[in-house]
Amino acid sequence: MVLGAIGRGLLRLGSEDPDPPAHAGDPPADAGDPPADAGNRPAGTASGDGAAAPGGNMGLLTLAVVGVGAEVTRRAVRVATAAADAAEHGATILMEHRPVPDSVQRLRGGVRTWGERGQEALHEGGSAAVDLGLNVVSTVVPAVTSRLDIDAIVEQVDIGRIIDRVDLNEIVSRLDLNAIADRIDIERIVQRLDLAAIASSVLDQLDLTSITQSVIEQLDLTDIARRVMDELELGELIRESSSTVTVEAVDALRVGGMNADRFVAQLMNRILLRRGGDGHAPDGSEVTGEPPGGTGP
Amino acid sequence: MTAGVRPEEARALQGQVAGFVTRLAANIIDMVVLAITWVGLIAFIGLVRFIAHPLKGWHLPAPPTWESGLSIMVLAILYLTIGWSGTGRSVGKRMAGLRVQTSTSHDLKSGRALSRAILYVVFPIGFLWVLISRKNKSLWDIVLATTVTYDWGLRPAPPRVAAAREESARER
Repeated sequence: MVLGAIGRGLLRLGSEDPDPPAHAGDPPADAGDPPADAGNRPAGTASGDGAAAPGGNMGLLTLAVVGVGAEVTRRAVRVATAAADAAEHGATILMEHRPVPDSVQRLRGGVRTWGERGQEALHEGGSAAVDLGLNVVSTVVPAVTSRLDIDAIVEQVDIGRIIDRVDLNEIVSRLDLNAIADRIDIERIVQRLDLAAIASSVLDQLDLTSITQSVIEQLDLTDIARRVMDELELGELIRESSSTVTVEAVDALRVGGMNADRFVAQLMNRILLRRGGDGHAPDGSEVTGEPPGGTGP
Repeated sequence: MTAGVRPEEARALQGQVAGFVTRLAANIIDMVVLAITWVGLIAFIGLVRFIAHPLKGWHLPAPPTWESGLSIMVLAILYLTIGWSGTGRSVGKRMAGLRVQTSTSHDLKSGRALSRAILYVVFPIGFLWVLISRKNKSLWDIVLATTVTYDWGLRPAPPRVAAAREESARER
């Protein structure tokens, strides 16, 4: 009876005014067991109230109910613990004076039992409150996220400013590039490269014929050849060689023969005691004079 | 002793009667050419014989002396006739810068060239008359009314060479 009255009182406190704990803490002073029961109830009542509450500000009301329930539970546990402590204290005094050892012993056992129950109730109530809170969050968060314009929020983020804050130099200085380079297996990469195919494709794309033709067009080989020939003076070389080697050599021999002819003619003139033995041709004319066309048959 | 003939003077001497030394040099060159031709002919005959009768082995023909002499004479007459007719220049005369002409400065025809060649080969001693003759005539020159003159045959060439040299000098 008493427990039921206390439970109803606590319920009234939880639903109407979450504040007056002093009032709630008083009644169980004479009996240590009821608060545990009372602590157990408010959680169930709170969840029941939350479910029965009308729509509209349902989320807010649910949160309020959860908060009230948690507070009530906490205070109820505190009251129960305080009552148990007081009871134990009184029992201890009684035991020291040994007026009613058996009854005190029994009372002590009962109090201990109720204390354990209170602990369990506290534990269950806490886990129930956590479940309820999670349920509420699971319903509230989607509702909140659906109303939030994430894109607008993202647009407000100044990425440039974030990048400005990032010190790339420091990051790079932390990187050990040599170690990275050591890990790269260049030979394997080169083996993977099909150099022949690359070269052939490059050659396919290069039109060597047109390149060569354009180079040749720009070279003006005729002009180059002409300038080379001018520098060489090949014609003069040939003329000089021919004149030097053949004409002049043969001419020199022929001139020598002419001189020998004149010498022999003069010698014969002297031997034969003929006139004209001094610089005259055998026919009597001057050597450098008119040709001897008139030589008779 | 007179001063030597300078090349400029030598050009002015073209067409004059040639002397003993140059004609002798021309004859010697002709003889050398004939000798080479003769040896080549003998070798050719031996080759033909070897090809025809290989089992007899390779050996140069050794004809009798009279046969050889006659062949050489025939070869010389042919060679000189061909050389003197037309241009009037055998190989020896070409190299010595000489030319055989008639006394009237015309080219020899083949008949007179043949006659001169036969006389030349049969009576070679007649060449020495050049020394005696005041007009540098050999015996067959007198008989056949021919003469040997200086004719280098390259008379147009030297002025061309000189002109080319002058031209290149002006271009520089």
